Amino acid sequence: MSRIIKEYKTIQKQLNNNRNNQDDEFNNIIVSLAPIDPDQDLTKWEAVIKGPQGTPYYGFNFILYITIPQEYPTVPPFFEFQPRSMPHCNVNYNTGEICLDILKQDHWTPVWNLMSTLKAIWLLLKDPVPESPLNVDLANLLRFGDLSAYNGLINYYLNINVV
Amino acid sequence: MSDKLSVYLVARSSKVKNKILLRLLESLNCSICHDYMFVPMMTPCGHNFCYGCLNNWITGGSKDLNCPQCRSTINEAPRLNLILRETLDSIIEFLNEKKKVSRDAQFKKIMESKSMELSKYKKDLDKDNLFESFFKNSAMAVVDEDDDEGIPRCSNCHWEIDPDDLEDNDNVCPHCNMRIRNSVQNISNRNSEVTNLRTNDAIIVGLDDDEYSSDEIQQIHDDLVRHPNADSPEIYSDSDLESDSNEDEESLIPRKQSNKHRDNFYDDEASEDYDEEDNHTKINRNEDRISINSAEDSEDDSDLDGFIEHDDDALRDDGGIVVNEAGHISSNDEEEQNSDYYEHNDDEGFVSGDSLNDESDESDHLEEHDDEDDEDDDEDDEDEDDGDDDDDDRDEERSRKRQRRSRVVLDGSDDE
Repeated sequence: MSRIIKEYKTIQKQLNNNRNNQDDEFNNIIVSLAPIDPDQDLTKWEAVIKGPQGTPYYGFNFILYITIPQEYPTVPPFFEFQPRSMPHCNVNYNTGEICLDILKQDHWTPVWNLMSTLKAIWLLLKDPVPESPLNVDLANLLRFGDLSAYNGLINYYLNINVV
Repeated sequence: MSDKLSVYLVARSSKVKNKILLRLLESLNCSICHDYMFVPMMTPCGHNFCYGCLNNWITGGSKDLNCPQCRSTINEAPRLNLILRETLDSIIEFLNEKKKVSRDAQFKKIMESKSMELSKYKKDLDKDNLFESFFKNSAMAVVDEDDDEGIPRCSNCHWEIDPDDLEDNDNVCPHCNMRIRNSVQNISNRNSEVTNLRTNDAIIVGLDDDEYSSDEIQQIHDDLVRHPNADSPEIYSDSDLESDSNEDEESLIPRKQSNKHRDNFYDDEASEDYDEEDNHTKINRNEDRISINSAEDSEDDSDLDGFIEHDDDALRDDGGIVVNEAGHISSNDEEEQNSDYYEHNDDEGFVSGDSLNDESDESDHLEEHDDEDDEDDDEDDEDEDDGDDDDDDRDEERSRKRQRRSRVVLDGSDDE
């Protein structure tokens, strides 16, 4: 637990610095990353990231819920998108579950932290992996190169949520 | 150089110095617990972690052991990184001189955790129990350098390790129950490569520079490197009996020529029978070509004339003569010649098998020799394929080839 306290401090500092500093590619992707109730519970976090430029997600913000297990950082944190908000071939649309190797125990290492994991998820939005899909429809469209249908379907889902 | 650096450093503003100092302090942070490394341990790949954190990482997982930072295999116990420890110690020492700081609660906390870390490390060190003796009580999957098949084995009991079984078995050796701490998949591939290189280099080093030019040594080296993958021609043609590519036939040529030398032994004895009984017509048909050869060979011993003539014919048929001749002999004097017969059949068996495929492709060639038996035809055909498939150039090509061969035969007979 002492680690998550330290991380919280580092994250606050980094996010503050990022607002003043525009150099880093990742500086502006994280809108917010903080515990939902910083005074009571440091195991439940909420993050907001921006959709990467050059993807159908650009212009939208996405909410993620993070659960920190007791054994963190030996055990990976649990990340998921807000249910029914993320149409992505490696995300289960209904539950928000994310398919990413570093989030699994076998590939997680304690050197990862919340910030770096969030960046990895943002990169997953940029480069979807249709080979290990949680959203088969989108993965198939992508695999067969039907980009207009792929982008159209994502836009359709994204705009449902806006309304 | 360090002089220059220190001069530059002193000349910088305090803001830059602060930045550098903070950066330095940050590098003393363990990336697992995000705390200072009071006992920094360095992995073989060069990454540093606290003793406690690394201990948890090493003893905690059940998969193959890798660096938390870069995932490279940790195949030996991490060592204490003294320089990092001294840097941190000296920073703390300097800060501790000011009474104000040392009385601060947070500073006390830091000192507390430092002494805790140190005492744990010292305790384990005294007991010779670093990392809970993980590196003593675990085995590595290794590949024996002498083991051609590259089978990974447990370094403790030398039991064979199946990578798939190991995964189901929590990375524990099925025989001695020691945890295997490296990835079997990686080690078996890499080690076999290394082994090959070492063997080759050892042989090359053993060669005398005076005896071999650098080109020759390179050639030998290339051969050695190529050897494990490329079969020798004989094996190649044997195993690819049915396939009938040009490549196959090219690889056959050197072998056939070496056989031919051996055939000479029998040609001496069997030539006359062979000529008289079976091949009058053939010789006649080939008369023009034979005359070329005899003209060329006229300087040679007259005794050899018959021999050459026959050999010409025999060599045109190359392998075929053997079968034919052997069959002939066996009918006359079976017991005496049997061993020869089988020896030849062994050598030539695959040739006829190979050439069976030619039959369909080159049936027009065969029609010329329909007075001979089938096997003979096949050999004949096979022989022609060595250099010449074209009907128009065949005669010219064939006579040229026979000239070349009769010379080879003469060389061979001289050896006798």
